[in-house]
Amino acid sequence: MRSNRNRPLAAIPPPSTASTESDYAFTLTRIAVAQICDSIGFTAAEAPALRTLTDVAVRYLRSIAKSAADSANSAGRTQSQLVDTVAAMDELSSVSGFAEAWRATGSLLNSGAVKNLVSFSKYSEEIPFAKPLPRKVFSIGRGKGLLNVDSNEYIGGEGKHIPKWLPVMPVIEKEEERGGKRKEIWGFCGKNEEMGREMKLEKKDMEWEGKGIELPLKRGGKVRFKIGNGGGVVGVCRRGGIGKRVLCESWICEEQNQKKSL
Amino acid sequence: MNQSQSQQTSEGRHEDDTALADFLASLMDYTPTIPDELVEHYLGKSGFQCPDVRLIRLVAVATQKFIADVATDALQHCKARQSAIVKDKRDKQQKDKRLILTMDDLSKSLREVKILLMRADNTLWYGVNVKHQEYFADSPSAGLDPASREE
Repeated sequence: MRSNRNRPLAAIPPPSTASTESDYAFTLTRIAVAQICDSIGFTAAEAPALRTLTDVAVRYLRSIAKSAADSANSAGRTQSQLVDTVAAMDELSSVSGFAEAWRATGSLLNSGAVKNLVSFSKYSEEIPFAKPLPRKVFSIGRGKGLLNVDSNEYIGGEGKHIPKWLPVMPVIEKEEERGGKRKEIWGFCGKNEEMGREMKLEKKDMEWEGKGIELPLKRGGKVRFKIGNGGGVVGVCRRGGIGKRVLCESWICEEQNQKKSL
Repeated sequence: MNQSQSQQTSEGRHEDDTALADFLASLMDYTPTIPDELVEHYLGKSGFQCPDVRLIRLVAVATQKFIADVATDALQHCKARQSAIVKDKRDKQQKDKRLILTMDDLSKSLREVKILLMRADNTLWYGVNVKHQEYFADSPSAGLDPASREE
């Protein structure tokens, strides 16, 4: 009896989802799974059993998502469609009949998984989640699909036009703070360069002497330009395009950044 | 003749598409137990991008059905176990008949899933519930008479 009990447990690694996933999402899933068990007829559940079933639910969700995303990618799409989702569900479910036979008929409704879902949604009792969840915690901007949940950079309306696969824009205020300390050598700005060198010698910073007028390998500071002769807009034009920095033809280099203390 | 057949098939497809659209539209009124936000969270983590809420609902309903199936199976195991206990101890006082989801029942209901999982890919629990249908020709009983198959 004991061997029978231990055998299936040995096959399952302990559910590691709770530690790797965010505890919040896992706890919410556990509540939903507990509600499902309650609706079926269970009066109580052991904590390990409920945790395991929750882990299975999470893995099921992720398997569907991964399969659908792979299907969409193999078809040359970035966004999954109904076909991908149905194929993923069909792959994961045990349907009677021939799997993938619905592809030949051309109708998604012939999929056994979809038919089961239709009957399930028609005849099962509707049990809403215990409490409504705040939506903005998970995603913002429905028009663009799902945004990256982990990074909060694009939350708040600004930067919605930026594709989410782009790296995060550096924070400008911090750059200016750093720029005040860093010496930036840009092109052949002779006088400023000499002044800068004198300042360096005064500060006995020997690291910068060998570099001369070469551009630094890593440009961390901000360089400002003047458009036109004298007056004009100061600064890099950021609003000319989507996510692009527009360079103007006639500009005067104005060095603003100072040496950065490394 | 061919034209009439093609018309029938196109009408059938049209009906199927309409029924599918109706089903997807009915999902907007259906509230699955697993909330949309949670499903979006997990789907987004696995690279599933879709702005359509109906697909999110579809996945939520599929997950709910899967969990409900597993739990129903576990419930049957639980009831069978309790009835066996009652038969053994008929004279003694009956234990409480509370239906509790235990690891025993759950592992029994998940056993088939696990075994097929290990067969599908050698990694344990990489994906859940990969119950591939056995091909007819792969079945050891393929080609045998139904009578001998039953034996």
